[in-house]
Amino acid sequence: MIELGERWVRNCEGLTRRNMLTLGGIGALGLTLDRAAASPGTAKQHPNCIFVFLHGGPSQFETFDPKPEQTADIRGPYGAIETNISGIRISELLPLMSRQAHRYAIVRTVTHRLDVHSPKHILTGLPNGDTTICAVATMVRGARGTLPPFVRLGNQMPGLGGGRLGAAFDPVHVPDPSQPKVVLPDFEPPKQVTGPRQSRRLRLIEEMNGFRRAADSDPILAERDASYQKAVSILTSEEVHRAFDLQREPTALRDAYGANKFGQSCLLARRLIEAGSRFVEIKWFGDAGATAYDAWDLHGAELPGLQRMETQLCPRFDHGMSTLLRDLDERGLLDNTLVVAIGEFGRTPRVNKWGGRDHWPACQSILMAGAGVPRGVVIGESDLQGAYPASRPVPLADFITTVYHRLGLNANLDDRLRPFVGSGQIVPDLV
Amino acid sequence: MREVAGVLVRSLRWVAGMTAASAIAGYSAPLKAAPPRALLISWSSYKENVGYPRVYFYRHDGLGQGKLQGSIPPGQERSDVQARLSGDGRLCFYNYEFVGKAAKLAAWDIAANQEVSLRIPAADSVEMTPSPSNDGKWLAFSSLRRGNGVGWNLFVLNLETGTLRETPGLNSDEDDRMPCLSGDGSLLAYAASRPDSVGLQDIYLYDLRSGKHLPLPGLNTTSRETEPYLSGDGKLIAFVSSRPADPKGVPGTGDLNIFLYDRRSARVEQLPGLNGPGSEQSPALTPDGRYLCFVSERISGAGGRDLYLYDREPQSGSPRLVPLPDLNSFRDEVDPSVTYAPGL
Repeated sequence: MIELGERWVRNCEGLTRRNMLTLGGIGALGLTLDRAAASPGTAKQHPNCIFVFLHGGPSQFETFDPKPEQTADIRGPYGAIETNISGIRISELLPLMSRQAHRYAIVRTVTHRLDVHSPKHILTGLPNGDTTICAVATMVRGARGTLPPFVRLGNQMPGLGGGRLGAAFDPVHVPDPSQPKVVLPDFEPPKQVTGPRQSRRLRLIEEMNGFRRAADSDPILAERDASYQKAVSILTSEEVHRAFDLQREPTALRDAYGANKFGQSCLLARRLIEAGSRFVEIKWFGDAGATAYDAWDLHGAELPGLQRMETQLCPRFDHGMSTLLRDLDERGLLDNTLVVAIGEFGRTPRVNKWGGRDHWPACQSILMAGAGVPRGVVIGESDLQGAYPASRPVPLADFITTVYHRLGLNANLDDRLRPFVGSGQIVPDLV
Repeated sequence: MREVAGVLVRSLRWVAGMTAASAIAGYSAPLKAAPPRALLISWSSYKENVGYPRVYFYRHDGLGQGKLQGSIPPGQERSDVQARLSGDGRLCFYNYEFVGKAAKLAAWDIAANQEVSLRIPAADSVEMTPSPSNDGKWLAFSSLRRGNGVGWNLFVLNLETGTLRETPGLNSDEDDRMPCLSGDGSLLAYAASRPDSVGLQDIYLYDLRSGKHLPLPGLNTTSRETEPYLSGDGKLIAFVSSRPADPKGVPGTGDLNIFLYDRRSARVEQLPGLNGPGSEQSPALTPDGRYLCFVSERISGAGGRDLYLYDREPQSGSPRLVPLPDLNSFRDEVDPSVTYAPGL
């Protein structure tokens, strides 16, 4: 098919090879040859997932596991506030989240040994995995309607996605939903190609494909063409473009989510789940080419250390996540949508000489909500310094297994998942 | 007639001179119906390089027109942030940092467009948040260097002698941060969380002449109060608070909002039309307290964090936001400072 596209491009009206590959790349809509059948909604729908990767590794002290009783060298400049759940405190830097505690659970004792700025172990459960949880779940569940089943918002994560499942299970990628017009790189035809012109080209492709099928009488190719036709229908679907159009949302709600990449990604994730996508990954935006700017990696050598939690990172997370949870719940979506927020690791208990904190995989805090996750609870307690789990340690493998479980997938028994997951136990407190 | 005209002109010049002088000194008496005057704004922007922000300068007419007036030249892999203008608009003090190295302070002569040597006692430590007095004699900053406390400490530097001023009782065993000097260098506002704090973070006011803290009744709440900014005479304090809606007082929204405290009345003043649905941060006042520049993220903005300018005492109408044409970009604008443009 690509070979046909290339020949066609060289002889025709100016389309470049890259553009044709882009069009061909719409196969990466999670639709595959034999698994593309849409799964219409059933009475008991399989849970969806919004998986937020907090690039850089957020400090547990300045988020979900503050230590206000400790000395300043451990506590840091910030204290704790009560949430609306009695007995649960979080960092003072998350006042809006403190009022949504009845919607989520905190796990304070996720633990592992991987001190690397790679999302691999978090999104796949394996140190060098390349097939993310959402891709695996897409493989099992398929699409649900017209919308692409698997979407990634934020910076791309090269080498992570469909992985061993192939490019067909890569997510549709939207780099920055906060832009005035959400541009879908896989969807946008070249500027010089107008609608009618594009339609003529696609008809030509179909005619040539049909001619070739007749010549080859190959049923596999026939199915593949059907797959492409389906992809084309998505390309031109008004429903899809509507789902990606954030300008259809009230300005006040967009402001509540936060007028930044993360906030608008949370909003877009809600819209996509609502419209029929199943799995949305959000990568907290650490722009390529930047130092640690806009990521959670606050060693302190990058200005201005922990103060960036106060002025930039926590306010944006506070707005985006609190509004997402409230919005999902009020629309009746939270019970069927698993929300996860996690970074690569936690951060050192003791503030370093630059006023920041360094990597600390031994103990990190994460957030989980929806899809049956108990609400308003804390799982596990770290020790007095927030250094190690004092009770209920949750190895990373157990966290991954539990995520699959909340998605209705048994990572220990389902042979379809075996190639992609390690061995872990379901965390009983989260089911 | 000529004599009368001459008297009139001399009178008007005298009034203009007194107004300019009082503005520089930081007299924050009401300036109702005062005509707008040219402003100088500094800030850091990530617009040209997402990893390394630069300090820019902007001249504004006080009404709604303005344009870029230059910038501090960038350094290779260097971040320049937390710029603060001296009250007379001549100097800009800021933070710079090379990748992997401790943040340090620097000064820039805006008119001469060149760096000014800054004498700070050497220390292998981070130095941040510079805040100068109007006369350019004093510079407050925060540092992790060992002072008379632990954690973040506050220091006041004599820029002429390069020595640190004695500040008995200023620093604590907690983190003392975000300093702001009054125009005459006599008062220092800052944020800290101490055992005697009313809330999570409180704003404190220290009198450098007496070496004592001054009371701020009615300012701090059980929430977080941070980022204080003093008017030139120290009578007004703009600050950020996470206080929730309070029907008895000036309400907040529970995220970050900006408020203004008047020490003369010991009351938090209204700022109608300033706070929005997002978080408002980093307030900066002109010496007379009329204009307030701040940072906010709004869908109606240019993208990411943007600067906004608020006129508390316009010549006509109610306090309102004033346009800043061609200042904001699609990336983050942070750390504003505002004063009256020199030359008046």
